Amino acid sequence: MAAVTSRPLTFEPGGLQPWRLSDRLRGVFTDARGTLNASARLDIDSGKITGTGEVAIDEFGFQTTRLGRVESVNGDVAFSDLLDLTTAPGQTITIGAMNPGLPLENGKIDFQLISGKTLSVESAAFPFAGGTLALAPFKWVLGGEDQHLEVTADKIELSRLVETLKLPDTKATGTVSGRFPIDVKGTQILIRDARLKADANGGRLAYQGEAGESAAGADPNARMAFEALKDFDFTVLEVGLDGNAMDRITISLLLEGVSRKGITYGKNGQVLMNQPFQFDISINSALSELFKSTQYYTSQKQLTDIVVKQVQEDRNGEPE
Amino acid sequence: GDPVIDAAIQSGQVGERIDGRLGVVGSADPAVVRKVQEINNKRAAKYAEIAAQTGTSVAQVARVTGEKLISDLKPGQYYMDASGSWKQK
Amino acid sequence: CTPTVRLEPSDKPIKIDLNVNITQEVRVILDKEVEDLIADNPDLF
Repeated sequence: MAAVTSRPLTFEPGGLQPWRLSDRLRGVFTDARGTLNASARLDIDSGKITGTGEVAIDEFGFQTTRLGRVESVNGDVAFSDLLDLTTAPGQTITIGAMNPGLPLENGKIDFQLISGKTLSVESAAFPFAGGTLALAPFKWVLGGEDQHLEVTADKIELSRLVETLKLPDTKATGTVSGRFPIDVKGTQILIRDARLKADANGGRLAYQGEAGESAAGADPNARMAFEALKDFDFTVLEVGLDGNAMDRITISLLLEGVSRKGITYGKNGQVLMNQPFQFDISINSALSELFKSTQYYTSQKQLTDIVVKQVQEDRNGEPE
Repeated sequence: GDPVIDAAIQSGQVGERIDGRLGVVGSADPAVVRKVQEINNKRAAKYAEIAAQTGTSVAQVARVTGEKLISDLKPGQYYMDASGSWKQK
Repeated sequence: CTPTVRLEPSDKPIKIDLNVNITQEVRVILDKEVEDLIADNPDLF
């Protein structure tokens, strides 16, 4: 039995890179940074070399196409067949940061690497907006183009979501949860009609902004909608997500609430008090719009068109 | 450009895609496939940098780059347009 | 001004669909940036 303990391998762009160890790693760990400390035990019997080993990963980072730059990976990985690049099951690493369209930090992944080709992920979870985003177990063929994932969002706090999405003049409480599929196709990360439902205690959302003022314009429906929206307490029924996390996405909010102050309504301006409203708000935009720093909001020439339509009119039979 | 990739482009093994990535046109030698993946990773880093500086999305930067690269291709070189099928200039 | 008649609120909620579409013309912003990117990185493009 020959134990081979290599000195720590420190990677840095322009210096040592994984592809120098084996071209099989080219394109997998690009522009790597950080330290791997490998120790191996090689066995040679009847002419066959077998080997096991451990790799201690220390602040390892690398560039990918779909997950952006993966940063601060840490953990000890045990290889049951070193030469075949196969690990024992149940290996655990932590990931400081990555960005598959939305910034994720401090994640934990339990996995097994099989023949250096297939990553069998047993569990993967990241804290997000006060709750957790977790992936159901899946097998990822490294370098593969397409992948189906099931995501569970658990107790996402609306207050933190409003903060993360930088929604102006909006206060929210309560949590939402739900499961939804994601289809990775090439560089697209397609979220398929995710529906996060308000948890038992429900959600509250109040909007005090003036966003509607200019948008309402002449359309009576729009004016009423924004009048109802202003200084209004909602029960949040559902938060929806649909689209490509790497590009354009539609975020929808299903809200229900009662207008506290008088709402002028209809052609001859009746005033309604305590009228229940149900809003289905959908915001279609590039996801990055929501995560970028606010300094860009003002400087960008943005085309925001707002379409308001009242779904159905059943005010005790009165025609609109 | 990179000699391995330039040769693969000349021989029609590799082409530019509208999404700003290099792509393997049919099949190619594994070493070329790994090189393509490496270059796409490095391009993704540049796209992310520009997206952050300009307040746009990675996909938007990648798309504008892909369009420009395709328009600059020489006759006979392969590209993949929005339809997703490979074509020749 | 038009007479404002107080109406008893109906128990059925008024349903409203509100669609906000934020598009951003990026070609203008990115044109020069991308040209420089390609020119400055011959090993990648």
